[in-house]
Amino acid sequence: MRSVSKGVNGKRTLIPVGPFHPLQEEPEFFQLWVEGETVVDMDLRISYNHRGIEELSTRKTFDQVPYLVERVCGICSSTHPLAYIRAVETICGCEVPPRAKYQRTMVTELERIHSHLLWVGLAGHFLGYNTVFMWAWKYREPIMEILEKITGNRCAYANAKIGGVRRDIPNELFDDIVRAVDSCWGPTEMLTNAVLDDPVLHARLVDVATLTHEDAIRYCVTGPTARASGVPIDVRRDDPYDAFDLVDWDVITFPEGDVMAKAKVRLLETFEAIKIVKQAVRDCPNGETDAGVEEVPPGEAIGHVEAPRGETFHYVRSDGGRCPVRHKIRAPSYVNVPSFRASCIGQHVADVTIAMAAVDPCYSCTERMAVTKDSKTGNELMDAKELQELSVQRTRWFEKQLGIEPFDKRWGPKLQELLA
Amino acid sequence: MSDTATPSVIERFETKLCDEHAICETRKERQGVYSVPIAKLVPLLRDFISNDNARLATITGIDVRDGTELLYHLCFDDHKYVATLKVLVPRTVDAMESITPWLPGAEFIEREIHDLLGIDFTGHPRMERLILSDDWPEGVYPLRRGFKKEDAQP
Amino acid sequence: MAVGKMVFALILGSIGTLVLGFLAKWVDRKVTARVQWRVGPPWYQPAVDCIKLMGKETVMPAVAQGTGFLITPLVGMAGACVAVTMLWVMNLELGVGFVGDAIVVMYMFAIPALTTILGAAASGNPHASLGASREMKLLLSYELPLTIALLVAIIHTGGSFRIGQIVGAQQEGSMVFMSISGVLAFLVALLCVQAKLGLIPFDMAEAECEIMAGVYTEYSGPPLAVIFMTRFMLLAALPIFLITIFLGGVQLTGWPVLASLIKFVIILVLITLIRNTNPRLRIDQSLRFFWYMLTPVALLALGLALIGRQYGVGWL
Repeated sequence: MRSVSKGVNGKRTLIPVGPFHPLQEEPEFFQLWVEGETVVDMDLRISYNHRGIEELSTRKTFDQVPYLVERVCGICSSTHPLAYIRAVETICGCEVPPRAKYQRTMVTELERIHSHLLWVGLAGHFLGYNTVFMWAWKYREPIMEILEKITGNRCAYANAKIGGVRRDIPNELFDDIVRAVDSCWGPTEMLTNAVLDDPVLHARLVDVATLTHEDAIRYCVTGPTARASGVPIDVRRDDPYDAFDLVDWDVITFPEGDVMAKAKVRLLETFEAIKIVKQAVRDCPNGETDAGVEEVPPGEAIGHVEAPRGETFHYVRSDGGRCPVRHKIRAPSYVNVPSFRASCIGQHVADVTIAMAAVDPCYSCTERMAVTKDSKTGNELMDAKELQELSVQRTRWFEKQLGIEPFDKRWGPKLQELLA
Repeated sequence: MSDTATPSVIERFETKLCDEHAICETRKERQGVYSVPIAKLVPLLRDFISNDNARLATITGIDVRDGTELLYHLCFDDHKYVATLKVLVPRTVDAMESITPWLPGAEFIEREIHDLLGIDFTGHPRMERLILSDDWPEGVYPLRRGFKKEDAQP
Repeated sequence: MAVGKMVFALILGSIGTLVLGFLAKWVDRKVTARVQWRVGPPWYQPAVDCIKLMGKETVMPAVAQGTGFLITPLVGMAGACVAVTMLWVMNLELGVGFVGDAIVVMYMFAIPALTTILGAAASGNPHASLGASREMKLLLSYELPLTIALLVAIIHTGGSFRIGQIVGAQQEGSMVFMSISGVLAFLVALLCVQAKLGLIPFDMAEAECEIMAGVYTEYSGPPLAVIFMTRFMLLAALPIFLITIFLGGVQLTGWPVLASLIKFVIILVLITLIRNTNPRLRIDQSLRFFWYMLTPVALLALGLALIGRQYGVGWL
């Protein structure tokens, strides 16, 4: 049950954007109060799908938490574990081996490329420009494939662990990575030129929903949203982690603060990300990939990294036990989305939708428990066991469809070995 | 980790904090946790945010034995430093001065803590439900230690 | 014409246009898919979409004005049927028709837009009402340049408001398109047709990501199928209207069939490409576009046509 805040006077009409709306794939509820076509007030309700990850995290061991937090968001699935791991590494005071640092950098930057291309596509879709949507997502596919090749999954990579990386990326795959990012350069250039040159896009993006420099600071926004308003903050430079201080790259900033500036920041950042990946592949040394952290001493620390959408901020407190005592997660959208109050009021409805999309809102960022209940009896319909059962069935079905050997046969002996 | 935070700047922060009877709890290379008396917190935050270009990353609430700890995480982006200012809100009070009136970015953060931990932020312009649904029972806070699932039945 | 013959023509013209509309929609979807590196649907897809919708439940919003909400799609379809029948008859039998039938066809083509506005307003949905207000503004913005463009063709073909004479004069002499003013007027009319069809960049009345389906938000089942079929008919009829006015008309006998078909497909593909290479404009921007850019261009074409006629210069 959700209440709708009351309008101040009768002339206003409520335009609901959500909880289910084609603009967003996720449930959240923007209430736009409009007079004619102009938005005069806005409110937001979230958490239709609260998952209680912060609480769940305190019931997992330190080594299991990365698996949980990478499920906060599928698109930022390398940055959430990384922020957590940075916090825990600070508590432990361990030094990460250089090879692991470079490999973490590769994965986060590949993720940034695919995330920014995803945004370009979605922004096109929100403007009714579906060709851009399809094209951008097509060009993003090689990146997703290379990520699957080097980490085993298109998202939720599970590559980072406390003190290093879980699986080493073999040197033989480095050429494939370079090939994949190279295949992305040309299309990204084409998309950038298309955005910069198209007069109709200019009409829709320039001077639309401007977030001023002052407001960007007052609303504490991060990431591309801040950089497009001339606030030059980037955790990769301001608090360097992994290999970001060892490679050469630039922070992209634009002073305008409109939707166009946000698009430019993301597109140009994609090129920087490609550069970073190529340098990381070139410089990646041989050697250990794991510092071998055994236990976490009592203490507290923060860890933050630059996710594609902005700063992902984690706070971890340990009492020396097996699980964190408290794990706070602040995803970038949680601070970026509320800035709509500064940028969207007074704009046209048509502009507000693209402006809301321009901060690249990731609603799983703001929603962190879903229980399905029978409305008549109140019994829970699905528990964890049933869900696991279902996913196992699904895997079997896929194996059968693709003619792959079953999982147990492929990995059974190896697992036995590892367990022994 | 190559370069550390600029030392003089940290010294300045720490002097400022010590003047206000804050105690440094932990200091790592580029971050520190400081325990601050509850009355001094908001003026200190205001000073850091408006004069030292600090950015409020978020506020963490933790339910401890004597009350609720609130941790204000400040990023000094220019100086590669993250300071965490810690205050203890006693259980008898369960209220804290809101910073939203002068820092609108804190609105959602404070509303979330209000929903999940039951801290009342005085002076907050709209202290309404954000995370919990409207039919959630009053006075039940899911992130407090004594929380039981049964209590949450509407 | 006898009443019987008229009824016969109406049924045949409407069904024919509907079938042509299904195919036109398929061409539109297929071309779109190819542009976006997709496979696209089979040729019968638009038809089976409508058949499936016919079997679905009609959901009535509690706040809707039932009669107005349900009857408007039918009225819109009737308007489209009359318009296309007139277009067909006057193309194929140049002698029939009456004084000013070009104006009547223009009116009939405006009826689907008007009924959409009424239906949306009756549905009581805030998204639909916003869409209706946009549709109304859009209607006001494109009708003026479209009428002026029509006038250009009328001046070229001897100053008669009879479609039969507009077509006849072009088939005897040269097409309206074969002159500077004709090209300008054709381009203006093409963009107006784009707006009339509610395609990107002028689809703000049903802007998917802003106001869900806008004017069509509350429609479901058979009424939605009727709306779809009306739009498919318009997708076939408006290119035919352009051919009739600017490109020498449609003929269904001998070799000219092929020429007519090629003209039809070219206009259709042009419309599809415009919709796939542009983002959606805002309503105030499209209003400005039609009034401050297209209307002057149309007026220029009108001036050129008048000068050409006055001094007997055919290519002006």
